[in-house]
Amino acid sequence: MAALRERGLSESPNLDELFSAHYARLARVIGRVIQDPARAEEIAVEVFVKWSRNAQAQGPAAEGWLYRTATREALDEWRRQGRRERFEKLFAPFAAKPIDPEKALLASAEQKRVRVVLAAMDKRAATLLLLWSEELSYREIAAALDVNPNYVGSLLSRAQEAFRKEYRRRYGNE
Amino acid sequence: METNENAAWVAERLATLRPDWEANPSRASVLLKERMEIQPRSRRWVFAMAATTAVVAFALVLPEGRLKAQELWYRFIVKSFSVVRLDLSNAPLRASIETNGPTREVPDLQAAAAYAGFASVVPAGALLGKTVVTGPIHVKQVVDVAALRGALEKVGAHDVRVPDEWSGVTIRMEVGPMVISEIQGDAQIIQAKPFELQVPPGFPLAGFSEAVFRSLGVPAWKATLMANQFAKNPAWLLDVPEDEAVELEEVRIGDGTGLLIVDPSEEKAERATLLFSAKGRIFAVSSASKERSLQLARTIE
Repeated sequence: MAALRERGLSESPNLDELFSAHYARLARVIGRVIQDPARAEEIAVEVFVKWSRNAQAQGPAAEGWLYRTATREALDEWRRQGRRERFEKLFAPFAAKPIDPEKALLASAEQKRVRVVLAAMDKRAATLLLLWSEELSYREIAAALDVNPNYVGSLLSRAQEAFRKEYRRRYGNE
Repeated sequence: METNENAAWVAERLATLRPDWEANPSRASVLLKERMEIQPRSRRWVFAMAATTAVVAFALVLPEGRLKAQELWYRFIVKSFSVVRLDLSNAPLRASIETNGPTREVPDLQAAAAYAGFASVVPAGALLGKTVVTGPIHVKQVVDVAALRGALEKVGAHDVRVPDEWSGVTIRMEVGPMVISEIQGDAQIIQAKPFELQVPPGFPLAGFSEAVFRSLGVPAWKATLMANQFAKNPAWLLDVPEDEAVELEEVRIGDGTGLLIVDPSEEKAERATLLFSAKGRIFAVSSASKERSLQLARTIE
């Protein structure tokens, strides 16, 4: 609660306060997973809408809920996009719109690999890595994961190890 | 050492995902405002979200003769449920929802009772997860005569008269406090005392409600029929648009009936919510299956 006050937020921050304080960073966290900036911003807005309609998410734990939900929504959306792409490929001969090759090239091979690995990981570990890479503090990460801040360091080490293991399993020692 | 090397290696890979764009808060703020004005199209049966539409719908069932001029507000207790296949979120009314007091997580049901002002009922022997208590929610609907006339005009309901005196009339609904308990995994029970609807005396609610329904495209004969049906058995009326793929079923719960709403979400598992009234409370029991929601409801009926 003291941390909320330090950042000029009340103990039960309202939608405007949270939106001003967190929107830009939340959109960037989502943007790490979702290639399309417009879609990433839409999802970020949707996270705030969901927050405002979820009584359980409100109160002092609001910030943690926002980041946790944002990363999960982003990963879910990424998986949905993957499923849609597979479906489109199957039905490509009949599709009204051909697959856009330019769009397909937008994501570099490496970005795609990293996203595949994150999507294959345990959601909590993937969330932790995404928030860590966006330079959230251990305290903020702890709030998002609903864990004691003292555990974040060891959870992070484990998540990094799991990421590297999964990456190597899929793509070898590169 | 290996940990540091691991961290650097992972950081290098994750850095490839760094967006090369900056979010646009001004545009997002406009989008947020638009989204907030749209009533959610699913799970509106969760109390707080449904309350706004309930106010409009309830106006239909209130007999004008029960209004007494000497009272500043007339109060109605709302404790049963019914459904209309309409999208009331398009109703031409100015609505606002205010929550009073924080939502608190509580350690047990005794603490929940202290905050909520009533004792919660949960299935005997159920393994309780997190329990939170919301503050009371005030829903306010203000009649916007110009918007109502415009909407009626748009659907060609030229026979409906909207008098100037309706302008600015306010209808209020008090919902909660609510106790929300997680039960064994994915089930949830929301409970509250029956809601209270407040209307200014003398306002012709039936006529107003009919106008609202007509503005949504309901034919005159059907609006009258609905009014008669609901007048016989006032209920919290939930709107489920025709194009919303949900399964609705009336089920027996104790001496009364409950309303079971199964929402086959595209991306997530099915969600079955059972609304019913028992022991002086309104309940919404939801879980991943009809059977589980029914079983939980029957242990608390």
